[in-house]
Amino acid sequence: MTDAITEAAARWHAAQADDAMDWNGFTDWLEQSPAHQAAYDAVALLDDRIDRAIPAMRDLLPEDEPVAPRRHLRLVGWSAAAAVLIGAIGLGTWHGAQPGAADIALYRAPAGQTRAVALADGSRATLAPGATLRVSNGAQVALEGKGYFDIRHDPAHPFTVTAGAYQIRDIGTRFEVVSDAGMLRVAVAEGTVGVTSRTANGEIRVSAGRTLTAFAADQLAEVRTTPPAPVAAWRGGRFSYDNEPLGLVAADISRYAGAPVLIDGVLARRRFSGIIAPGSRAVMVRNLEQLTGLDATTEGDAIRLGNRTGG
Amino acid sequence: MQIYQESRGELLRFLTARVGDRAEAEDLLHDLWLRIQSTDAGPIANGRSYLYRAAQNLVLDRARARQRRLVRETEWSGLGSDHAEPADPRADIEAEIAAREDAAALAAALAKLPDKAGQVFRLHKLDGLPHAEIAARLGISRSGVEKHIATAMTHLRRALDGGTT
Repeated sequence: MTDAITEAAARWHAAQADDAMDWNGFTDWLEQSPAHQAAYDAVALLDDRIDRAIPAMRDLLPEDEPVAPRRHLRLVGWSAAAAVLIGAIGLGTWHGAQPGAADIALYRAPAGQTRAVALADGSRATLAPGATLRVSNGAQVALEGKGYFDIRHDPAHPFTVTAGAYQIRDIGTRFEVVSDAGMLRVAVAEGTVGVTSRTANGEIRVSAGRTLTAFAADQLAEVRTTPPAPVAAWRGGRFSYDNEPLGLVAADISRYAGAPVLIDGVLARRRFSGIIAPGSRAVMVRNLEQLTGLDATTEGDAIRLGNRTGG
Repeated sequence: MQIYQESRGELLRFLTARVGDRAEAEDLLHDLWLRIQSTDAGPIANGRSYLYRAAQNLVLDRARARQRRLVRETEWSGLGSDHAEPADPRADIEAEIAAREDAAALAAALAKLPDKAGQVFRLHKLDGLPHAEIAARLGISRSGVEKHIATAMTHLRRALDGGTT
């Protein structure tokens, strides 16, 4: 197989991120020769292989390598209130260094970028664009938004993630958490986690290959087999959903784009399935409009999704 | 679903070209239909692009399962019949372990990419930036971004797939 054919296959593959993809042209190209089809297969499998290897690959690359230049601030000895403020405006990491005081660090991934965070004992988290993680004493973390966790299990120091009204307790595992607007999704890649909610009784166990989706904190409902899209596909820059609340989808786009996308309570609980290509907020919202039949209107710097007027 | 009915013919042609087998393409199209049907509660009017991407994912799922089966048969040929269901969580874990072993080779190959292709590839894959944003940041066109990514993939394929596939 020549490099020229591989390169052509890779061009077709790369073009698919764009909604303007020429699918008919791609079909024509595939029909031209079995070698084209074989080359495309190889490229698609290689890309899949790369996506799967990326979390492990991050471990091998220098942490927060300034591939894309970004600012880091490390302030020592400020008050916790200052830490919260700095976290909120997204300037990076803060460490409380007062002797005996709780050790709190705040991490925030800026819009459009993921961020790797090293936790205690070799555990790691990857934050999706716009997500915030607050770490207290190395093992209690609070997440806002979407994050992927790779946790070394230590029975003496159980690890918990708090996400709004929910708590996720690990039993030595790798999992993805998405939380927003009172909703939660936990997808487990390896091991088992236990999920509790402030307003529901009992703990629900979620094991490898399963996904828990909660539409509201008082009803810890669905645990299903994880859909075929790989866990945490967003790390490869894709947004794919299978029967998930629209509220989480809107929150994903807001965080990714760094500008608000709003959706009302009732609609936020509606289910959505589909794939949204990453892009500007306007493009992603337009894509979502097409897939849901909802209408977007502009409100100041926010975009609000609502029912089609008159319908 | 209307868009599915409208696109059925072209999707079948696409899938046939994609997998090189008409019967398998029909089977995949049926899977696609079931998948759309099973997302009943949702307010979905699936766009054409969504259908094509979903079809692509189904093909990839099958290719992945086939590859996994192949690896198992090679590794444990003595163990007799083996069922490699795509939903088997153990298979996912094996894939994750394989990915970890792969990571070292990938990181090494990544370091050897041509400058610009390597930069674009890292911005996209590791930093998760969309093509449009990379284009804006580097002052190049979107198709320029796609070209760099294609160049990177070609290099990586030469470096990684050479011996194994």
